[in-house]
Amino acid sequence: MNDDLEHELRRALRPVDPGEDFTRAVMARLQSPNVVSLPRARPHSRVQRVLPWAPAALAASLLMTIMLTHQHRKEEQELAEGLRAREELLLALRVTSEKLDIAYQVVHTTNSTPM
Amino acid sequence: MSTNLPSIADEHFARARAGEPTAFAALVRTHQRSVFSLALRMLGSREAADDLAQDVFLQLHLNLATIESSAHMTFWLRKVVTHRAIDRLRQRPRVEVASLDDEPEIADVAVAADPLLQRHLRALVAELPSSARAVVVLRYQEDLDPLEIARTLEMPINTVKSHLKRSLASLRERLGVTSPDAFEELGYE
Repeated sequence: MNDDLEHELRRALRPVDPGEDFTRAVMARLQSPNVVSLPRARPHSRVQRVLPWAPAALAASLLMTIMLTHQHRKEEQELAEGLRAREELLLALRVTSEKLDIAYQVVHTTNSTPM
Repeated sequence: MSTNLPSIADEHFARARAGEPTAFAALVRTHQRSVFSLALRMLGSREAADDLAQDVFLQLHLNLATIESSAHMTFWLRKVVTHRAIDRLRQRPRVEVASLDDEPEIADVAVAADPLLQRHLRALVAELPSSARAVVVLRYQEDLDPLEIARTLEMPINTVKSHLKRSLASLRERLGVTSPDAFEELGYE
């Protein structure tokens, strides 16, 4: 026998249909009250299947991040305001100092002028 | 330019996942032939195959949310039916070989050219060890290549090739086929 064994195997193992009643039987079993089935299949991510607490942890992490960011910004704002106040003070002192210099020179010039 | 239109199978899959019973019934009709035949070739009994195939589709319905596409579903069905068939075979070591009356009539004239040979081959396949039988059935019924078989059965590819090589040699010997070069030509050396 020189027939290709593989060819014969493909013919021998050709799929057969279970019959029209098969689908009806499956659907009838699905509707049976003993079968637990999902009412609506929703796509679940693999992360959610493995880590069911992941959404809650993510929300908590996000909230903490927001709070820390807010705190950081508040501190930065206060620092900036402090620096501005310092600059204003230094400017005011410089102006006052310059005015004092001018006044001093005026006074000394007046005193040195012979009468 | 090619367009990527969803196939009818993809549409049925999406609607079945959304919970439409008619779409799920369409999926069953599409895949029942393959699933039932895998079970039949593994278990050797039409009744047992019918029971297993129904269970597999019920399991599919429960697990639809975990399946990502219609292609993934095809893979899933083959994997589950062969694994469960192997489990059942291991629980009952004695194989129930299908009787000659258990086979449905095949109307294809070309296929019926040598029905006795084909029945003999099916009987011989049914006598193979469960893992080897699964490999042979996936190869010659589902036309999977060794890598796809390895993935389906979660088996090393070299083990798949070994099963194929030994099974074909055993079948050839039992059929009385003498062709020393035939196996090399098949590319499994």
